[in-house]
Amino acid sequence: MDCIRVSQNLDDYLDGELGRIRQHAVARHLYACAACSAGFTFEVQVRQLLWQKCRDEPPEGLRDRILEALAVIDPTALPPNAFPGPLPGPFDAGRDDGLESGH
Amino acid sequence: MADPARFADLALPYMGQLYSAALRMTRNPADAEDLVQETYLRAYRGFGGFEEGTNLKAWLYKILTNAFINEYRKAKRRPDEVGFDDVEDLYLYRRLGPHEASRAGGSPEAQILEGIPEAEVKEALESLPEQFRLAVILADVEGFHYKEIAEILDIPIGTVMSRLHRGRKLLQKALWDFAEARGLVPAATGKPA
Repeated sequence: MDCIRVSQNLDDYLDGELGRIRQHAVARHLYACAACSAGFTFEVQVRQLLWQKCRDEPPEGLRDRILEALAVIDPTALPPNAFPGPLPGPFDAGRDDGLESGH
Repeated sequence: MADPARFADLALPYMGQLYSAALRMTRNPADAEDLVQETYLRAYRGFGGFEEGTNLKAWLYKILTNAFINEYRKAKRRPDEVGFDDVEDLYLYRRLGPHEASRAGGSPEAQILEGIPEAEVKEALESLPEQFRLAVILADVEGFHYKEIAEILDIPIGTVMSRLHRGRKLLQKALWDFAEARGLVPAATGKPA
Protein backbone atom coordinates (compact mmCIF):
# COMPACT_ATOMS: atom_id res chain seq x y z
CA MET A 1 0.00 0.00 0.00
CA ASP A 2 1.36 3.45 -0.88
CA CYS A 3 1.31 6.66 1.19
CA ILE A 4 -1.82 8.05 -0.47
CA ARG A 5 -3.83 4.88 0.10
CA VAL A 6 -2.60 4.75 3.67
CA SER A 7 -3.73 8.28 4.41
CA GLN A 8 -7.13 7.48 2.87
CA ASN A 9 -7.47 4.43 5.08
CA LEU A 10 -6.05 5.94 8.25
CA ASP A 11 -9.43 6.77 9.79
CA ASP A 12 -10.78 3.26 9.39
CA TYR A 13 -7.47 1.85 10.52
CA LEU A 14 -7.57 3.89 13.73
CA ASP A 15 -11.17 2.86 14.27
CA GLY A 16 -10.18 -0.78 13.90
CA GLU A 17 -12.74 -1.09 11.13
CA LEU A 18 -10.55 -2.17 8.20
CA GLY A 19 -10.62 -5.78 7.22
CA ARG A 20 -7.73 -7.87 8.53
CA ILE A 21 -5.78 -7.83 5.30
CA ARG A 22 -5.94 -4.08 4.82
CA GLN A 23 -5.37 -3.49 8.52
CA HIS A 24 -2.18 -5.48 8.19
CA ALA A 25 -1.11 -3.67 5.01
CA VAL A 26 -1.53 -0.27 6.67
CA ALA A 27 0.36 -1.43 9.75
CA ARG A 28 3.24 -2.66 7.60
CA HIS A 29 3.40 0.62 5.75
CA LEU A 30 3.33 2.66 8.97
CA TYR A 31 6.12 0.56 10.35
CA ALA A 32 8.30 1.24 7.33
CA CYS A 33 7.36 4.85 6.48
CA ALA A 34 8.43 7.52 8.93
CA ALA A 35 6.36 10.26 7.27
CA CYS A 36 3.09 8.30 7.45
CA SER A 37 3.93 7.12 10.91
CA ALA A 38 4.29 10.73 12.09
CA GLY A 39 0.93 11.58 10.48
CA PHE A 40 -0.60 8.58 12.19
CA THR A 41 0.73 9.70 15.58
CA PHE A 42 -0.74 13.12 15.01
CA GLU A 43 -4.17 11.70 14.17
CA VAL A 44 -4.06 9.72 17.39
CA GLN A 45 -3.32 12.93 19.27
CA VAL A 46 -6.25 14.75 17.65
CA ARG A 47 -8.53 11.93 18.78
CA GLN A 48 -7.15 12.07 22.29
CA LEU A 49 -7.86 15.78 22.28
CA LEU A 50 -11.52 15.15 21.47
CA TRP A 51 -11.76 12.26 23.87
CA GLN A 52 -10.30 14.28 26.74
CA LYS A 53 -11.56 17.79 26.12
CA CYS A 54 -15.21 17.33 25.21
CA ARG A 55 -16.64 16.25 28.55
CA ASP A 56 -18.92 18.27 30.74
CA GLU A 57 -20.24 17.71 34.21
CA PRO A 58 -24.01 17.65 34.23
CA PRO A 59 -25.52 20.45 36.29
CA GLU A 60 -26.26 19.70 39.88
CA GLY A 61 -29.86 18.77 40.34
CA LEU A 62 -30.33 17.18 36.92
CA ARG A 63 -30.36 13.72 38.41
CA ASP A 64 -33.03 14.72 40.90
CA ARG A 65 -35.06 16.42 38.23
CA ILE A 66 -35.02 13.25 36.17
CA LEU A 67 -35.95 11.06 39.13
CA GLU A 68 -38.82 13.39 39.99
CA ALA A 69 -40.08 13.32 36.41
CA LEU A 70 -39.87 9.52 36.38
CA ALA A 71 -41.69 9.23 39.70
CA VAL A 72 -44.75 10.86 38.16
CA ILE A 73 -45.08 8.06 35.62
CA ASP A 74 -47.12 5.09 36.76
CA PRO A 75 -45.04 2.02 35.84
CA THR A 76 -48.15 -0.21 35.67
CA ALA A 77 -49.54 2.02 32.94
CA LEU A 78 -46.54 1.46 30.65
CA PRO A 79 -46.61 -0.93 27.70
CA PRO A 80 -44.89 -4.18 28.68
CA ASN A 81 -42.81 -4.58 25.55
CA ALA A 82 -41.86 -1.25 24.12
CA PHE A 83 -38.13 -1.81 24.52
CA PRO A 84 -36.73 -2.75 21.13
CA GLY A 85 -35.04 -5.77 22.63
CA PRO A 86 -31.81 -7.20 21.30
CA LEU A 87 -31.00 -5.54 18.02
CA PRO A 88 -28.68 -7.08 15.43
CA GLY A 89 -24.96 -6.60 15.50
CA PRO A 90 -23.20 -4.83 18.31
CA PHE A 91 -26.50 -4.27 20.07
CA ASP A 92 -26.59 -7.99 20.86
CA ALA A 93 -25.95 -9.46 24.24
CA GLY A 94 -22.30 -9.83 25.05
CA ARG A 95 -21.15 -7.27 22.53
CA ASP A 96 -20.91 -4.46 25.01
CA ASP A 97 -17.28 -5.32 25.70
CA GLY A 98 -15.79 -3.09 23.06
CA LEU A 99 -17.47 -0.01 24.45
CA GLU A 100 -16.05 2.46 26.85
CA SER A 101 -18.77 2.75 29.40
CA GLY A 102 -16.81 5.17 31.51
CA HIS A 103 -13.93 7.53 31.19
CA MET B 1 -43.62 -3.93 34.11
CA ALA B 2 -40.86 -1.34 34.25
CA ASP B 3 -39.11 -1.43 37.59
CA PRO B 4 -38.27 2.20 38.47
CA ALA B 5 -35.39 1.37 40.81
CA ARG B 6 -33.80 -1.01 38.33
CA PHE B 7 -34.16 1.50 35.54
CA ALA B 8 -32.47 4.18 37.64
CA ASP B 9 -29.63 1.83 38.57
CA LEU B 10 -28.95 0.78 35.01
CA ALA B 11 -29.63 3.95 33.07
CA LEU B 12 -28.67 6.87 35.29
CA PRO B 13 -24.93 6.14 35.29
CA TYR B 14 -24.96 7.30 31.64
CA MET B 15 -26.40 10.68 32.56
CA GLY B 16 -23.07 12.55 32.48
CA GLN B 17 -22.10 11.16 29.09
CA LEU B 18 -25.55 11.81 27.67
CA TYR B 19 -25.44 15.35 28.98
CA SER B 20 -22.06 16.03 27.33
CA ALA B 21 -23.35 14.68 24.03
CA ALA B 22 -26.59 16.65 24.36
CA LEU B 23 -24.62 19.81 25.01
CA ARG B 24 -22.54 19.30 21.87
CA MET B 25 -25.77 18.71 19.91
CA THR B 26 -27.83 21.63 21.21
CA ARG B 27 -24.90 23.95 22.11
CA ASN B 28 -27.03 25.20 24.98
CA PRO B 29 -26.98 23.98 28.62
CA ALA B 30 -30.71 24.47 29.28
CA ASP B 31 -31.69 22.67 26.08
CA ALA B 32 -29.18 19.92 26.85
CA GLU B 33 -30.76 19.35 30.25
CA ASP B 34 -34.23 19.15 28.74
CA LEU B 35 -33.01 16.78 26.08
CA VAL B 36 -31.44 14.44 28.63
CA GLN B 37 -34.55 14.50 30.78
CA GLU B 38 -36.73 13.76 27.76
CA THR B 39 -34.39 10.90 26.84
CA TYR B 40 -34.83 9.31 30.25
CA LEU B 41 -38.60 9.71 30.16
CA ARG B 42 -38.78 8.02 26.78
CA ALA B 43 -36.35 5.33 27.82
CA TYR B 44 -38.34 4.60 30.95
CA ARG B 45 -41.55 4.29 29.00
CA GLY B 46 -39.91 1.67 26.85
CA PHE B 47 -38.09 -0.11 29.62
CA GLY B 48 -40.77 -2.74 30.29
CA GLY B 49 -39.39 -5.04 27.63
CA PHE B 50 -35.76 -4.61 28.60
CA GLU B 51 -33.75 -7.80 28.48
CA GLU B 52 -30.48 -8.42 30.27
CA GLY B 53 -27.52 -8.08 27.95
CA THR B 54 -29.05 -5.57 25.58
CA ASN B 55 -26.80 -2.67 24.78
CA LEU B 56 -28.52 -0.12 26.98
CA LYS B 57 -25.97 2.61 26.31
CA ALA B 58 -26.46 2.46 22.55
CA TRP B 59 -30.20 2.39 23.03
CA LEU B 60 -30.10 5.50 25.22
CA TYR B 61 -28.03 7.29 22.59
CA LYS B 62 -30.50 6.29 19.93
CA ILE B 63 -33.30 7.83 21.95
CA LEU B 64 -31.23 10.94 22.65
CA THR B 65 -30.32 11.36 18.98
CA ASN B 66 -33.88 10.79 17.81
CA ALA B 67 -35.25 13.23 20.34
CA PHE B 68 -32.70 15.77 19.18
CA ILE B 69 -33.33 15.28 15.46
CA ASN B 70 -37.11 14.92 15.58
CA GLU B 71 -38.20 17.17 18.40
CA TYR B 72 -35.57 19.66 19.37
CA ARG B 73 -34.41 20.50 15.91
CA LYS B 74 -37.90 20.67 14.48
CA ALA B 75 -38.42 23.74 16.60
CA LYS B 76 -35.29 25.30 15.15
CA ARG B 77 -34.42 25.61 11.51
CA ARG B 78 -33.52 22.78 9.20
CA PRO B 79 -30.05 21.34 9.65
CA ASP B 80 -27.30 22.89 7.66
CA GLU B 81 -26.87 20.66 4.66
CA VAL B 82 -23.67 19.74 2.90
CA GLY B 83 -21.98 22.08 0.46
CA PHE B 84 -18.47 22.53 1.67
CA ASP B 85 -15.24 22.61 -0.14
CA ASP B 86 -13.52 19.33 0.19
CA VAL B 87 -10.94 19.15 2.91
CA GLU B 88 -7.86 17.05 2.34
CA ASP B 89 -6.76 14.13 4.51
CA LEU B 90 -4.50 14.99 7.45
CA TYR B 91 -5.55 18.60 7.01
CA LEU B 92 -4.27 19.97 10.29
CA TYR B 93 -1.11 17.92 10.31
CA ARG B 94 -0.12 19.09 6.85
CA ARG B 95 -0.66 22.71 7.84
CA LEU B 96 1.37 22.36 10.98
CA GLY B 97 4.36 20.99 9.09
CA PRO B 98 7.22 20.84 8.14
CA HIS B 99 7.95 17.81 10.21
CA GLU B 100 10.97 15.93 11.19
CA ALA B 101 10.03 12.32 11.09
CA SER B 102 9.80 10.30 14.30
CA ARG B 103 11.05 13.01 16.57
CA ALA B 104 11.08 11.75 20.11
CA GLY B 105 8.96 13.41 22.75
CA GLY B 106 6.58 16.29 22.18
CA SER B 107 6.57 17.31 18.53
CA PRO B 108 5.68 20.95 17.73
CA GLU B 109 2.38 19.77 16.25
CA ALA B 110 1.52 17.95 19.44
CA GLN B 111 2.40 21.00 21.49
CA ILE B 112 0.09 23.18 19.40
CA LEU B 113 -2.72 20.68 19.94
CA GLU B 114 -2.06 20.70 23.65
CA GLY B 115 -2.24 24.48 23.60
CA ILE B 116 -5.81 24.54 22.31
CA PRO B 117 -8.04 25.09 25.36
CA GLU B 118 -10.93 22.79 26.17
CA ALA B 119 -13.54 25.45 25.38
CA GLU B 120 -12.21 25.82 21.86
CA VAL B 121 -12.03 22.11 21.19
CA LYS B 122 -15.70 21.94 22.17
CA GLU B 123 -16.50 24.94 20.02
CA ALA B 124 -14.70 23.39 17.05
CA LEU B 125 -16.79 20.24 17.45
CA GLU B 126 -19.98 22.25 17.85
CA SER B 127 -19.19 24.23 14.71
CA LEU B 128 -19.55 21.13 12.52
CA PRO B 129 -22.74 20.78 10.50
CA GLU B 130 -25.14 18.55 12.35
CA GLN B 131 -24.88 15.32 10.40
CA PHE B 132 -21.09 15.31 10.70
CA ARG B 133 -21.16 16.47 14.29
CA LEU B 134 -23.41 13.62 15.40
CA ALA B 135 -21.16 11.03 13.76
CA VAL B 136 -18.00 12.48 15.31
CA ILE B 137 -19.57 12.76 18.78
CA LEU B 138 -20.73 9.15 18.69
CA ALA B 139 -17.42 7.79 17.41
CA ASP B 140 -14.73 9.95 18.93
CA VAL B 141 -16.26 11.16 22.18
CA GLU B 142 -18.53 8.22 22.98
CA GLY B 143 -16.49 5.43 21.45
CA PHE B 144 -19.22 3.67 19.47
CA HIS B 145 -18.35 1.35 16.59
CA TYR B 146 -19.49 2.09 13.03
CA LYS B 147 -22.19 -0.54 13.25
CA GLU B 148 -23.60 0.91 16.44
CA ILE B 149 -23.57 4.42 14.98
CA ALA B 150 -25.43 3.08 11.96
CA GLU B 151 -28.11 1.70 14.31
CA ILE B 152 -28.26 4.83 16.41
CA LEU B 153 -28.57 7.20 13.46
CA ASP B 154 -30.51 4.75 11.33
CA ILE B 155 -28.22 5.15 8.33
CA PRO B 156 -26.10 2.64 6.35
CA ILE B 157 -22.56 1.92 7.54
CA GLY B 158 -21.13 3.44 4.36
CA THR B 159 -22.86 6.70 5.25
CA VAL B 160 -21.47 6.52 8.78
CA MET B 161 -17.98 6.16 7.35
CA SER B 162 -18.29 9.04 4.92
CA ARG B 163 -19.83 11.37 7.51
CA LEU B 164 -17.19 10.47 10.00
CA HIS B 165 -14.40 10.93 7.51
CA ARG B 166 -15.74 14.28 6.39
CA GLY B 167 -16.58 15.39 9.91
CA ARG B 168 -13.11 14.69 11.21
CA LYS B 169 -11.53 16.63 8.38
CA LEU B 170 -13.85 19.58 8.98
CA LEU B 171 -12.99 19.39 12.65
CA GLN B 172 -9.30 19.61 11.87
CA LYS B 173 -10.00 22.63 9.73
CA ALA B 174 -11.92 24.26 12.60
CA LEU B 175 -9.08 23.49 15.01
CA TRP B 176 -6.63 24.98 12.57
CA ASP B 177 -8.71 28.15 12.30
CA PHE B 178 -8.69 28.44 16.08
CA ALA B 179 -4.98 27.80 16.35
CA GLU B 180 -4.33 30.38 13.68
CA ALA B 181 -6.68 32.97 15.21
CA ARG B 182 -5.05 32.56 18.60
CA GLY B 183 -1.59 32.99 17.16
CA LEU B 184 -0.56 29.47 18.06
CA VAL B 185 0.86 29.30 14.57
CA PRO B 186 2.22 32.19 12.50
CA ALA B 187 -0.78 33.29 10.45
CA ALA B 188 1.11 34.37 7.35
CA THR B 189 2.68 31.09 6.35
CA GLY B 190 0.81 28.77 8.59
CA LYS B 191 4.05 27.09 9.41
CA PRO B 192 6.03 27.26 12.58
CA ALA B 193 9.16 29.39 12.27
